[in-house]
Amino acid sequence: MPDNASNRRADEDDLLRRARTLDESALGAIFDAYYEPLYRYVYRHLGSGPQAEDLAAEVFHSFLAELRHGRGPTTYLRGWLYRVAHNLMVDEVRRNRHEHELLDEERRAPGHDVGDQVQSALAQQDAKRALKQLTDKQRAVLELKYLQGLQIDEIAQALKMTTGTVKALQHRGLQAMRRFLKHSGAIDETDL
Amino acid sequence: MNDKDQFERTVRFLTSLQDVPGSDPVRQASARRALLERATRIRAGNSQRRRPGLWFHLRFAAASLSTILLAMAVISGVAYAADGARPGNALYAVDRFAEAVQLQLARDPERAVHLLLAHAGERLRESEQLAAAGSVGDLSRALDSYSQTLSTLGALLSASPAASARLGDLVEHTLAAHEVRLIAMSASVQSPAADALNRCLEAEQRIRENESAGSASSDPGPPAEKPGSGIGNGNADPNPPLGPAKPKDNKKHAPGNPHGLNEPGTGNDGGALQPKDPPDLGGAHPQSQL
Repeated sequence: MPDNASNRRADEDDLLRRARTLDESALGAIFDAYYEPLYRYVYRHLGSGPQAEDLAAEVFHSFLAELRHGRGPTTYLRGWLYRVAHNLMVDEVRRNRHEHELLDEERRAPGHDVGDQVQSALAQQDAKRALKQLTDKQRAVLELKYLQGLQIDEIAQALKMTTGTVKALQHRGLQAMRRFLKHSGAIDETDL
Repeated sequence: MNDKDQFERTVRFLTSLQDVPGSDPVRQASARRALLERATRIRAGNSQRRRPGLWFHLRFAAASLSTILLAMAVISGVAYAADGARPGNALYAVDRFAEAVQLQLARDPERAVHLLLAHAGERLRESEQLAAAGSVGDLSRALDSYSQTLSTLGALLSASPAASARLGDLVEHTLAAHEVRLIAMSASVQSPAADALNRCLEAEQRIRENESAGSASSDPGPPAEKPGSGIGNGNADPNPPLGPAKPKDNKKHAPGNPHGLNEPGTGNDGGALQPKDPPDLGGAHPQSQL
């Protein structure tokens, strides 16, 4: 494991140890570190800012409820949080039973010119369509790895898989995406 | 293009999806605050001691009766020696244990009421001693023990209407006397003992109000007194002059002891209690001293 990842893991474990005693500063630090990434993860699936915010907050309340009863993670905190977020998200999608758009036009990041916005929107549409072709597990692995920045072992923790399975899903998912993008013309054939 | 380049190009499409709007900072701050407040409440709940109610005492009695009977034969001699021990004394814990055993073995609710009144008197006497000695920490604990004893008494009276009806006057008169002593003590205590003392007065007030309400349902009695000047006894001066409380009737007390504190027969010796006339509260409104 790279040094920065192992350092991050050590810091995370220390935070988690203090949080298990309901230490306020530790809980605040965990919230500050993981709220925004969890929100973005959920937002990409639900497409609604307020819903994503509520769900992200719910993840931390579930965390606190587990700590209160002496349960919850003792390591791999980030993976555990994503697992809870994933489960809540799945429940929410099943409850609503409809597809959400992955792009909220009204809340686009400011400061981009029109040309950049158009290119960005086209790339995103291609990526969205490519992701939809994948299996649920392939999609989940690629999102957590490339959009949320989780390590392989954290993804395994979040999705309750072995690291070997995660790697295999990652490889197959990328291959499937590449085939789709090539077939749809998003990637020029001559480049491949 | 080799595999690595294809891989990186595909990943670039993926990472284009990272550009999503950020969360609302106000909602984020609100969620953070709610989380930390909830954690604070959980921590406070974990550290708060549970006050034993009547059901707790009953379960304790059922679980330990046989053990207590055997132990009593051994410790009765020690308990006799420990009677009257003060907080901080090595035998104080034995004294408290003996009181608890007494209470568990009370044959009926009326006997339990008498015992609880006696125990409350003991706690009050101990508190007065600690206040005089300036032991703030022990004083807070002693006052909390007094409040706890009153809570048990209140629960018992609520659960036993017959005992409440028969002993209501005794309870009210005894607690009225306690109130005078607590108010006298309040002039010289500081936080956290002052907070504990306020809790004692509140606990006492609750019981006296409940008892007054119980007796009023059958007999309206005299009009209610002003707050802080005695409740339900009809003897307090409705227009009390300012100044220290002094008894006005024929009750003679030792010089320097205007409230009859710690005199024999006032219910302060922890023994059997007899109904007594409550002292007249001819002094200032006690609440102003708290």
